[in-house]
Amino acid sequence: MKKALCAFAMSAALASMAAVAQPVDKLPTSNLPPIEISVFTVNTNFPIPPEDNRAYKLIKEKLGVTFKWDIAVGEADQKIGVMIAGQDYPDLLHINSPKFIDAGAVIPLEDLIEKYAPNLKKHYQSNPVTWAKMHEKDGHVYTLLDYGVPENGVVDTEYYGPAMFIQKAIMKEAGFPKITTIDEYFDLIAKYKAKHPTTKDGKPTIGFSILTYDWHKFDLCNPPPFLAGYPNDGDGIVDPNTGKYRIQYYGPEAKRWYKLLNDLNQKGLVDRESFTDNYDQYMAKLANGQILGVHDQYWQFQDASKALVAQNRVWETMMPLPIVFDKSIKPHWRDQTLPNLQRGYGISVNAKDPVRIIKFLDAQFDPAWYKIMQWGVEGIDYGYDKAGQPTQTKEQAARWDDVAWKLHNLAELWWAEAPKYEGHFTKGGLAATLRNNPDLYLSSLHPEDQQILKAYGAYSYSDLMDHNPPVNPPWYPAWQIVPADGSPEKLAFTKAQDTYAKDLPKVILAKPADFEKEWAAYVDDLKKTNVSLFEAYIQAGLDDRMAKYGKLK
Amino acid sequence: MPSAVLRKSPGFWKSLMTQRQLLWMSLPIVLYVILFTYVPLAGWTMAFQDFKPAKGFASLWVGVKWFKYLFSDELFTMVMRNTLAMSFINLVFGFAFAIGLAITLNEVKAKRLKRFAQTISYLPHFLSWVVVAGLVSTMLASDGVFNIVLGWLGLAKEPKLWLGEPKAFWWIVGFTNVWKEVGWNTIIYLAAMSAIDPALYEAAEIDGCGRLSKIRNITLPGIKPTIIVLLIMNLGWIMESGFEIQYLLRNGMNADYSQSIDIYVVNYGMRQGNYSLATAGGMFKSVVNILLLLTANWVSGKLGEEKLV
Repeated sequence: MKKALCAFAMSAALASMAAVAQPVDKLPTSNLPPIEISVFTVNTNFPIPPEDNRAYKLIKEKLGVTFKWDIAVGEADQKIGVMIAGQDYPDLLHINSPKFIDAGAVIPLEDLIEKYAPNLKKHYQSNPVTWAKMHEKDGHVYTLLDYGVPENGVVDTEYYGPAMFIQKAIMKEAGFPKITTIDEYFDLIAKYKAKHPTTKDGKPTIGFSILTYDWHKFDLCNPPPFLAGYPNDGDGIVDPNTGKYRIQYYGPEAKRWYKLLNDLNQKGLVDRESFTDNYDQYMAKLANGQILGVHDQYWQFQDASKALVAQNRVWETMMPLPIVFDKSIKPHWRDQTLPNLQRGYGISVNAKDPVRIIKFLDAQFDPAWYKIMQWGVEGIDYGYDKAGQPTQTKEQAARWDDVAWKLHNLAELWWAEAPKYEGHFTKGGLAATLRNNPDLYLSSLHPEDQQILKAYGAYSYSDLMDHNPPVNPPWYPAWQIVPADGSPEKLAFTKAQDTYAKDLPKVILAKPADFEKEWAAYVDDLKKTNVSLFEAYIQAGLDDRMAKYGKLK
Repeated sequence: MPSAVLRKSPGFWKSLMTQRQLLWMSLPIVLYVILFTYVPLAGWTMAFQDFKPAKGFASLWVGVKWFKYLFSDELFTMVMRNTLAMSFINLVFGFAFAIGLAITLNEVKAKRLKRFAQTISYLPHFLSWVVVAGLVSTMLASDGVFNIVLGWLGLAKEPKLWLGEPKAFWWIVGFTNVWKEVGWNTIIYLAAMSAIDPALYEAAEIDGCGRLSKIRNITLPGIKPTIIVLLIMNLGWIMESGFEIQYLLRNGMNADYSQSIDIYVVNYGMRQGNYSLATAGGMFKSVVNILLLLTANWVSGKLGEEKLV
């Protein structure tokens, strides 16, 4: 099997080199001295690329850069803690929390960008608020944001954000009704579960599951604000009129949600085991098609959907719905793209030649290179039609969907966290992500999805969630304000999180007569954690942002 | 013995010379111990600082701030209780089951059966905790084997989420440890038993001793020194209730009973970048362990039993 794979990859690579020297020759090159860049990443979606990978070979040939990868497997935070304790850093660090910045592990980038990186300068500075927000408290920029800085208009197709998800089969069986409220949502699930107590292979169906394992536990506390029509502000709710922040764990909307779950548990619709399951067990249930409804963010369980699609069981995958408590509430699940602050590569203090590295980062930020890394090679992996739109033959499309092929031909591990084009290369031009171009997007949809989207008159699942999400206030979102590690605010916050993880299952599983008692005990425990310290910290951060970037809407 | 007293002792340098091969052989081990267990002790200074990696050991000195924090934190009291409880259960179960199994195996006359049973019982020792935790959580799930058997026996009306029962957690850990380690722990007792002079058993038989009284009067006293040495050594681990199993089986519902000191150190120390707190927690644990070890050793010596040092 391995041999066959190798042979296949090699022949593919050879074919690519021989057949079209043409487009590859036109790639922008650099005559700087060759360099090996060591990279630490917490992105575990892609394995370390093999030696014969086409895209990395081209990068080495034309830009003189080879990568040495260090992927954090297992507990990333722990690995980062150990790295910081030993001050043992590679050249590039994938920043995904304030840890590296607080530890002084990365160098300021604003001067390097100004002097050596015209492309990145244009990319990050075209929106002054984004550029201002990229500055940390000490006035320096440390992170080259990986996502959320789109050029020339956003394209959203697949929806990766939070939603109430429901199995597609349920909507099909009900005749694709337009539902908006949580009662309608659970009604559909209850009816379907009564009719289908088991999946096709005999496993029991589960009404509503909740991922509660370790840091994934935010799914336990996130639904109430969304159901009440607030956008994603992390662990709290900002009053749109007064700008006041409060933690979302125990407000009136929270109580309403947990009361509802308590009722549903009595009806046997809540997955009791989800309170003891780990992440793998949760994913297994989804990949078996057992779970009928769930609140989650799609990126967190997309692999389970992929597994079902691979078995041709698309109807058992999930679709997102913008559900709210009642009809009077306007949903705000989907928000406009945000700069992904404190996420992306930073250059470490141990890097020997930061100038060379920033020059490479700037050089790779070029549509031609982005295509090599994300699309493939023109003429081999895609072509253009007369209108200039990218196309793929059936064969090309099938190959492009093959994970093994991607591993040998594209540079996914690198571009996933690198500064990159999102949106469009030019105004009104091609979408930067290959499959976001309309023709390819529509032909890449499964027939089942085409049927669903047609029934709802939506272009994509993002479109279904919200055709036109409201403009973000300049201070939004509160979740970008994070207290420093080891600070009393952070400690109080961690304790509050541990408290809801501990008490909410009791509240949900309590006998209806005991609900009020358990709820009061939970609120009591929460208050003991000093979570108000955390609230005050976020409030101060918000006030600061409102003063800098403007108030409210 | 007077002749031994009269013999002139060979002198330090002379015995050093005669034992030089042994010294060379032990040198790497000594270096290893110094390098990996004594040198890192310098890091304990972090417990008395507000340690920031960017500043290194030039960080701000704060005295016993972190120890004060630990002892005033309700959570720390709780994790200490859990650690001690689980450790105690492990200690008692570990000794009782291992000695029991060793004696039973020793009494088995069919050699093949004995070897077979021994091999089976120590195989789980080689499984990683991740695998064991997976087995345990599957068995304890509401549709797992444990609930099914309870149902058959009519002991439970409806399946229970055992991992969601806080008070069951210590016992789950205790019995899992027994299952995993009992066979392995018997090896040393079986070795001790094989050193007992068979003539003693023959003599006892002639005196009319039955099986049980042979066990009580010959086997147990025969392995007593081994038991005591192991007990002293294990007391030095009393603050270590294990880390992996709790880490892998804990969840929100059993958090009050599943968090051990090690998990506390990881969650509130390492993960929060609060290295001073992590060091203080670890240091407290080591100091208690050493004190217990020395005390047990001293008591054992006073009682005229085996000593470790």
